[in-house]
Amino acid sequence: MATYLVGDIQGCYASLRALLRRAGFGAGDVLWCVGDLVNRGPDSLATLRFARDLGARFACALGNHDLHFLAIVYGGHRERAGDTLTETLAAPDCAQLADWLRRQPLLLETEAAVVVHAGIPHVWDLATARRAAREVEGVLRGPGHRPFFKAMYGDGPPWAATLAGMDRHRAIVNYLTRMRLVDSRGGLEFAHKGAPTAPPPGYRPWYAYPPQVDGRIYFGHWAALDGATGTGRAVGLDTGCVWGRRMTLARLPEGRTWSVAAAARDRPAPAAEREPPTAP
Amino acid sequence: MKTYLVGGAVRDELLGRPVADRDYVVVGATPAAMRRRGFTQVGRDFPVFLHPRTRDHHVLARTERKTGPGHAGFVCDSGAEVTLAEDLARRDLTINAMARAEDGALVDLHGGQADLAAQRLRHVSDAFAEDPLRVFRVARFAAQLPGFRVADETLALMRRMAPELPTLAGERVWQELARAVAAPAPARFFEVLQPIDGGFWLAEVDLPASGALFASRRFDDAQAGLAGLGWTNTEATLGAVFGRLRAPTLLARAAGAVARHGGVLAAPNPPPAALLDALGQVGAFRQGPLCPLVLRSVEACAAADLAPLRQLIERLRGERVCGASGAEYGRALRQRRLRRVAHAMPLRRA
Repeated sequence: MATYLVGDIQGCYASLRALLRRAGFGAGDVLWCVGDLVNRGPDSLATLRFARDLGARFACALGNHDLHFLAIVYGGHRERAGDTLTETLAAPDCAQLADWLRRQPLLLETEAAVVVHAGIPHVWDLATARRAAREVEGVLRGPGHRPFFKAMYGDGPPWAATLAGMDRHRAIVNYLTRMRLVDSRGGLEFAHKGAPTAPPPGYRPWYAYPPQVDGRIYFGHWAALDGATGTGRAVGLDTGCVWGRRMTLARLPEGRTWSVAAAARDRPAPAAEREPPTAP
Repeated sequence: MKTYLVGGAVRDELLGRPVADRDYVVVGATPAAMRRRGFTQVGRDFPVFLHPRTRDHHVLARTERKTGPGHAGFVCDSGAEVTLAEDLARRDLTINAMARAEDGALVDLHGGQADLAAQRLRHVSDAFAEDPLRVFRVARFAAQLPGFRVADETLALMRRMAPELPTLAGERVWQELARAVAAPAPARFFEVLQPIDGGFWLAEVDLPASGALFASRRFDDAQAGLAGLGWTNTEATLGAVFGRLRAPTLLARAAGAVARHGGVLAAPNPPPAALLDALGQVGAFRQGPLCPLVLRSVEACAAADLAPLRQLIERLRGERVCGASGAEYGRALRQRRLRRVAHAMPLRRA
């Protein structure tokens, strides 16, 4: 029995299945994902059903697109331009899938590695990151998940131990699922999504600071990196499948990786042929 | 000789709240007269008399004079000539400085009723400043009476008292903290103290974060709440603060365990070895109150149902190894437990 950890899937179900075949994923193996199971790609519904049907053999660290999907289901938000969630939202088992997804954690661990969607900021040690994740997981599982999803969107205020209520939960979510560039005090920069070659002044990638977390951090979220962090302590698994590049899978604990090129079905159509964006 | 119901009982009656303890002041009596009436005398610093039937506390009206720094530097004068007005004037807050006579008449010399109506915690006189513990008492009252605000002039006086706070005994401050955490709105305790404590008793405690913790969670009991301070503070911080406050060892250990292991204990799918180590360190495989206390606290902090973890602990406690002894037994038992933990993952949550 092995644990495999896959990068952002984003509804690229055909690529996922090809990748699992390539790696020899078998009936006793466990599949984890760094989050973003859904959206942008063509088959979010099939991806969710596949993951759910793996039962205890599947877990993911929730990503920003997963939370976006849940915010549509529970928070009264609408699909945005570029979203590909319509089929999933209309599915007869949408409610069950959403209920299953909101019980997934924000932070997963093996003995030697931590798995989060975006990263762990240098201002947190592991005990703090765990407690922060547990707090929001409790909200997502609990009776307060609807008000949470209604109020989830927003860039600030930045993290401070003193934050309470929704501001605190939003700051935790922003760190664990949206962070790319961060300043020395832990402030986030949300506009920059490209490679970190020329970050805005004062900002660096979160993994470029001296870490407080021992062991390796696996993350996704930042397709423009293509996995290149320059440090073995932070391993990026988002290799841009939904943008027509590759999907990547690592076997834990040793970290051997497999990749497959994006399946034809999962490649983005030329701009002119894309579905017209849904009204936000 | 006249007897008056005083203090918290009068306040709570006027608030329509249940009255726990009834304290009485007796004016115009001497200890000998009290004993003659069948009262039992207890207490060393100043005499307290227990009513022969109800056992309610009766004390002789007294005045206090400050003779030295701190909470204990007082000389009490109690005698037949001390008046009710003098006794009420030495009290801390106006809402605690009212008395009710035996005929039911309310004695309110300091505007206590008006402050109750305005939900205001206001000091009776500048003699308030003679006992620094009152800073923590006011913060605790704020936690017990959630709608009440501390009057600006009282807050200003409390700020001026900050330099005297270090003279207090840690245990007394701990008691106020513990009572505040057991109160309906513990967050208010931390809010009130934030501009005042100024870096002594609770210096390293993240007061706003601790307040936020209590504002958003409901703990089963005060002990779980106190241990929950570990959720918003580091283990080292709490070690220093709880030591200074002479906190009970159990609570100091529980709070440290919440800080260090809380995130693993509440995890749905933690690494088996990490969970097993955490369980070992919170005493899950020994008898004693530490582990149940830590689990109760983490359950509230993380809003997680830990019933599956408790079941797992029960099964782990039942594991036995045959035909091994000493270090070999320990290793073999750990292997069995590790397999059992791994098999139980992920823990199902309600």
